[in-house]
Amino acid sequence: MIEKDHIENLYEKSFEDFSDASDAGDWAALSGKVAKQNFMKFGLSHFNIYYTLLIVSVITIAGVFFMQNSKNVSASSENSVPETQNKVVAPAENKTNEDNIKDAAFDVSIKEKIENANEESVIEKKTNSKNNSEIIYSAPDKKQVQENKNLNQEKVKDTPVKEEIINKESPVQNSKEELPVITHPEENAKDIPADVNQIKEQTKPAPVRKTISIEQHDTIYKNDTVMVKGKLKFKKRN
Amino acid sequence: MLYEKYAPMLRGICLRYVNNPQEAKDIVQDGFLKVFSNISQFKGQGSFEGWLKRIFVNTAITHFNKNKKHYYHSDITEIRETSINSQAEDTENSSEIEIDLSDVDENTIDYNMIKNAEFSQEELLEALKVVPEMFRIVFNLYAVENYQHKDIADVLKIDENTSRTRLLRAKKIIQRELYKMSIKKLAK
Repeated sequence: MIEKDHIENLYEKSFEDFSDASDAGDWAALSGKVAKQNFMKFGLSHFNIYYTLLIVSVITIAGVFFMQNSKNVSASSENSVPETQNKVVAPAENKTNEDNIKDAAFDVSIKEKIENANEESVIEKKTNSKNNSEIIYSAPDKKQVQENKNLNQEKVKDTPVKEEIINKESPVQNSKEELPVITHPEENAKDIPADVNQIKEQTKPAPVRKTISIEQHDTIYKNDTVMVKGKLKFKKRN
Repeated sequence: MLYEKYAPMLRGICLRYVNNPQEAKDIVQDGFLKVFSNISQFKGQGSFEGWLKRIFVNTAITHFNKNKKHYYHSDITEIRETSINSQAEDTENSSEIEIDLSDVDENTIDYNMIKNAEFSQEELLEALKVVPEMFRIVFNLYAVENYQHKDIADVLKIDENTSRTRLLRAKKIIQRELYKMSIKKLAK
């Protein structure tokens, strides 16, 4: 080992116990830095930047989530308006006096039908209409009917009326569908007089059928409006 | 309290490495932050004071490495300024002391005068402040902290020979300064 010269020894001995008086303000500055360092360092016991970031991120995610939800709600409400406009649903507010009179008459008929249905055990009715639609009415038990009746009477007034055009096909199309295929009119000329009336009936323009349906619990009430030759004929049924 | 007990001693260490007291304060604060964050690593092997000293010396070295470029430029200006100032002071005081100190030859330095001068810690520190940072840090590490040249070279990322050269240059500057101070002391 190289021996130190006298200058080195002088400094080594002199600065062994060298100290400088500290200021009180130094500790204040240092404590601030220590607090900052503790904040930046992760620890379960004290609040730090990681907890802060966690809270901020949770708030941000929640905010984004709610913003998206609110956007979706507004978009769905905007989209729902034209859908209702497109439907042939006549709201009660827009009804004319004629419509109100019709509805009132229809309600009365529905009530009558319900009363009749209670008395009948099972009614099967096959309609011979041109559409060959089959409607089967089955009356429930007496107790159940009584309960339904009470419920229906309470809610008949509140129920909105929906009008749906079920069969709005053009008369020409219906007539084409129902017409028998005649390949050689001359050969079948003999049969013409016998089937003239039938063919004429078949070639008649099909009526426009309009059904008003009312849904109440498990029962669906329908009111058919059939337009024949420009005149309205009401066939009410339920 | 840890800070109150050890802060004066540790500030003394920092003052040996930097000229500016504000810089010494910054090193003390950084060193204590390291101590507080790594105090769990001290396992009681060796003295706690020695552990603290090592941390503060390393902090001072880190500070030096950070501001190396700044120190290099300032050192050049310091060397010029000190040489100019010393010349000016020497010419001013030449009439009083009647000794020309502008160019003190190494061979003419009387080491007994330096020994007999009985310099205080503040005077020795003043003489050390004249030494440029890059030489002073090597002198401090070698002479006071008892580092070997190999360790100094590792810490400062320099060659061992560079470390030796810097130490020699630092010692020459200090000797010259102390000699001047001793002459002034004796003259008074």
